[in-house]
Amino acid sequence: MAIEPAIGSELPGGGLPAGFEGPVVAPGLGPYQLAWRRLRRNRVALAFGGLFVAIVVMCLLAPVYAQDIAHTSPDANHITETIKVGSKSEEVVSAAGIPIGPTWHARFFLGADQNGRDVAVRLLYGGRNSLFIGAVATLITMLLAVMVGLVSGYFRGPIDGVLSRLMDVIWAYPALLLGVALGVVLAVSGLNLGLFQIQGNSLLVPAVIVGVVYVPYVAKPLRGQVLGLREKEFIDASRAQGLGHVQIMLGEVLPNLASTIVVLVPLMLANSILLEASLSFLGAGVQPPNPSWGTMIGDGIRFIPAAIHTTLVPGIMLMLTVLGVNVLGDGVRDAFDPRARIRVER
Amino acid sequence: MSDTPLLEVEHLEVLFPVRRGLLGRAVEHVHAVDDVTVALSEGETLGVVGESGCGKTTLIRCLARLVESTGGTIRFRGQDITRAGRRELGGVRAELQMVFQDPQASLNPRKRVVQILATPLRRRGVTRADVQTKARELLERVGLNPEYLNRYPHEFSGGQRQRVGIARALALQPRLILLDEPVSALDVSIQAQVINLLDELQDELGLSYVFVAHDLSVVRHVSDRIAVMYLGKIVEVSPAEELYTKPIHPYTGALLSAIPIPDPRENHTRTRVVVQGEPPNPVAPPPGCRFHTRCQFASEICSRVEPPQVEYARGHMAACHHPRNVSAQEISSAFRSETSPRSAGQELPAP
Repeated sequence: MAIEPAIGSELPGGGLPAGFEGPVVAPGLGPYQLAWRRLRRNRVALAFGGLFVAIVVMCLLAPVYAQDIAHTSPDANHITETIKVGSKSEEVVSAAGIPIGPTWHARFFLGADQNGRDVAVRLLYGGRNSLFIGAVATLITMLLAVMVGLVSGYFRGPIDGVLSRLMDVIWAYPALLLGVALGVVLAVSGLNLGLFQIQGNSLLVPAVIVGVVYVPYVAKPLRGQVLGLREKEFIDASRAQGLGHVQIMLGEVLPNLASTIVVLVPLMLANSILLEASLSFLGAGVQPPNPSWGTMIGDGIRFIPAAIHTTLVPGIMLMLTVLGVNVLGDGVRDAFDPRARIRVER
Repeated sequence: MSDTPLLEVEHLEVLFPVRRGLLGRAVEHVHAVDDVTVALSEGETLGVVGESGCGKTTLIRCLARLVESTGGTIRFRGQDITRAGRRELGGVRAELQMVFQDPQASLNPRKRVVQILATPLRRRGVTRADVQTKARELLERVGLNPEYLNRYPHEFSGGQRQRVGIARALALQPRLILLDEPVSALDVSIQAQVINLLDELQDELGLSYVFVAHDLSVVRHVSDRIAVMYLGKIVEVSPAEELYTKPIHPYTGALLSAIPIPDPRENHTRTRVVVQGEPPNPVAPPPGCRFHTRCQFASEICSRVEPPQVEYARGHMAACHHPRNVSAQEISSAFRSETSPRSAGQELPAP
């Protein structure tokens, strides 16, 4: 039973096939290595990523700054004190209730707020809270969204129907409105989910709210991708090998979602930080006296004409953080974009 | 060859519901595979041919239990696997592997070759430490450089990918490999290489194949027997060479005359049987013989009675009231085969 092929007849099946096409890229380089290579060449994205990392590090060092430089704490009131600025001494909060502006001294470097608290110290502590909530919320969003997207896209049918309608219900509300509604209720009562009990003033309350509110925004596109992937022959191949549903979902489908997830994480982080700030600004997020950038802006808004630094400082910090994360996120997205392949180098 | 065939398919039926309306009720069905009976012995290659949409891919996917059948039985080594769950199927799954049509889509793009091969190897009980060596052996076996272990599928050419697909099927040490148009996505020169590889593996490992293709010249070289399908039914089963020299069913004849002949002079002299029109809608297949709407030899009986499988000499079977290329004597000694569809009539073709 021999075949007379036009070309390649000198190869009776064994050995290396003729006309072997060399690899398009350096061999064995996975999609992540390729993306990392591309990202490494994107100076702008790296710079803004560095900015974000710097902000995170600064916020993590908040206790050091508070104790060793400013010698105060985020909640310490200095409302009745006076401070020497240059040669004359000034009240921290004037008789008219106007807090002092930036002094460029160790304490009250960026001024005080209406309660005579150090804005710089509160800025760093508030940043810790804002970043923590943003990170936890993103984690919650991603975990839930990946589960929902995988399960409903993979099984389709009634399971998909139930989960997708549930997502639609959440999606039907404007994110901010839903967040405020939940935040007001939960801030009073706390969250009680059987084993999980969260106090009303805990930072986890806004984290859970922000996390859940954003689930559909991630779950829907992931579900769509899973719907496409499940029809691929490699899924059939793994079924033919006897793999179970869970093994296929986690072992075969999930790796194909990974790049989407990696791209979505920074974007969701930026969105979560912003939504948390909005909620806190409206009083439905972080509860006083805990600081966060949103609450600081909210507290300072009444003093805008006289003491604009109380809103400007956290506002700028928030903007820089979100800008850093977003530009980094754009860089990551570009790095994973298959259309950017042209720029691939060996 | 043992007494029990390796694979027995009896009256297999796959109907796909066509859902309409708000409640998604099945209003009608697509008859993808309709009462197919066929058997395969150890070491044999069964070719399955037919035009697009005749149900050959559904048939093979049903054998791999990727599509659920709606009727009939599939037996592997005498064990009924038609309805077996994943656990009961466990051992049989390993012995019955599949190679897919599109080598690009059948390999997970996010996994390295070693990971693709590790999954079945680990299922077979190969220890983590041995996976690397076993995977190398597999690559060598299918004619790939073992150094390619750490590559991703996109770093291979089509033919190489299909070799990886074959290696993955071999990883579970199967007895039967279901090949779903394994070469139709490849260049002609690469097709020959892959087919020769399959041929070698069969000799070395004693594998059995079910080889689905729409390219008759490819099937001719690999198959011991060939089944021709039309609209979900098997219309002719025959030893491979005989099908080409002595097609009994008019549809087979038409298929064969559609094979292009490279020599234009020879091509010019032959008389081509051209089948008119499109295949009928598989949702509502015509009564009687399914081919009668397009058959030039059709008579009154063809639209009324479904022809039974009639067994001629040398195990050559065809379901036709007006067989071609057979003598009167052969017709008179022919008999109704047990593999006939349940709905087929008793009438045998008249000499």
